[in-house]
Amino acid sequence: MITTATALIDWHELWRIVVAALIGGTGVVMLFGLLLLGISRGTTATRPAARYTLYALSALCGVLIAAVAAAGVYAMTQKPSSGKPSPKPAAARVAPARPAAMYRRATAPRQEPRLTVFARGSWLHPAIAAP
Amino acid sequence: MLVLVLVVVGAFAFDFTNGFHDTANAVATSIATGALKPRSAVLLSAALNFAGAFISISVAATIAKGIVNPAVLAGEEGLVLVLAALIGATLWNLITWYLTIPSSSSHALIGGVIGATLVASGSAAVNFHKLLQSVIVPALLSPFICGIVALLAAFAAYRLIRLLRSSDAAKGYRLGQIGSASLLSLAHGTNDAQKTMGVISLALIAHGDISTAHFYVPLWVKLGCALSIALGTAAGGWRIINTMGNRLTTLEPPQGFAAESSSAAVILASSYYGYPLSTTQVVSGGVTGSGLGRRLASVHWEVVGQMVTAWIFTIPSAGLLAAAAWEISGAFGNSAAGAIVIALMAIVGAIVLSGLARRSNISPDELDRTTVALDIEPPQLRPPAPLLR
Repeated sequence: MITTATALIDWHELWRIVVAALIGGTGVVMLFGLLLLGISRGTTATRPAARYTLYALSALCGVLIAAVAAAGVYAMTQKPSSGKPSPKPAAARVAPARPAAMYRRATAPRQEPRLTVFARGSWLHPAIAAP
Repeated sequence: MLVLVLVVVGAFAFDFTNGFHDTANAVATSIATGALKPRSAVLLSAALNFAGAFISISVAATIAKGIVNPAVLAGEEGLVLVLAALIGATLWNLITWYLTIPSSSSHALIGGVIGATLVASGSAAVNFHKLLQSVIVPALLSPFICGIVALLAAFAAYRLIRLLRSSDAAKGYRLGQIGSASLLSLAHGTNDAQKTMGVISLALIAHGDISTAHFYVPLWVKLGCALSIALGTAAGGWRIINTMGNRLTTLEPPQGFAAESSSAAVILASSYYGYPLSTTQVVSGGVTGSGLGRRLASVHWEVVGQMVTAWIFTIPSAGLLAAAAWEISGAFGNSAAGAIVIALMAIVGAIVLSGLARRSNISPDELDRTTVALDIEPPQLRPPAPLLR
């Protein structure tokens, strides 16, 4: 079971997501709490120095929150899913793909190339895979 | 050409249902805590979903990439298969909307593609390992990841609230929720509108309108998808908003903020690292986690159970509906005639489900909590400690 889980889950990637989410999620909430605390205490502070210190603390928290939000928007623009599908390899053009119904309706003994899983997570057409 | 038009219209229809089905993900907690009026919330979310569709120029070339063999999507029959998949996904979205259960639109679309592919080409055309790796495992993990992050965030928020006046905290976190809901809406628009762009682009490639060598997404596709998801969001899926915001747990503004921030963080981190997660499952986990983060907060586990059951059934059910659509179309030769028949049947199904939902309609006014004065109840109330006085 552990072997299966290891094969299916990219633990390194998952760990990075958990850490980033923990820093981003809980960090922003704590910073926002500090921001509110600074404003709340700043308005009731009697000494000007204390008031300005608290407001400065709030402003710093605000800037950090804005930076995290900006990092989030940047992450949206940097998604790894690439839009440009790679052109078909030459071998694939030589042996064109069969339409869907041909799979079902083929009555003759199957001599056409069949789809085979050669490697984990990848489809290879026999025309491409064969040496 | 007619089949291509039907696929494009079907994709826009799916995008519309995706919009109103997933509105809840972004705004349910803001509405439930009274941070925003329901109509304002969905309009804000709609505008940001529209903008989000244009943020990233990278488009997932196809939904279910690597899960089904792309060869089965070639030619006119391939287009009919995509249409059947879209019909299965759209109908499942409508069924779960009628049942007021949040479920993943992306999983519905993947289920639709798999179901139609299985009956069209057999199991050889489906890569089950990839399905397990990129859909099932993330679906199992995402609610837990976001739930734990939201639990810790809500716990931290309530520790700080002890030092604040209750009214200040409520007002402040309500304001903060506008920002967190906006970021979540933007992320949703970026993720989900592009899935439909991918489907339409795939159809255009299959039809020969776009070459793979000079691939681009036409402007009308981008605009159409952005507009569809925005209009769907603006329509407001009040039934699911009610479930997500009010029925899962009783939310206060700090919890809403914690849930939204955690969800946005998890979604953005997973997008950045290329780990596909369902927005619905992440946000549901976040809401549940934030409910647990406040002591004495009650999570309604029977609603959580219903939701998890719907998640389990999403892929098989959407797959069955798509398979049925493919078989019906097959009776007409999987050609334009078959495509028209299944499209008409889908329209009838959608009208019936909408009519049934209208019997137990939930209006936005019923969800409005902006006028309710929320008293935040920290776990242990004590007078504010002196700080730099």
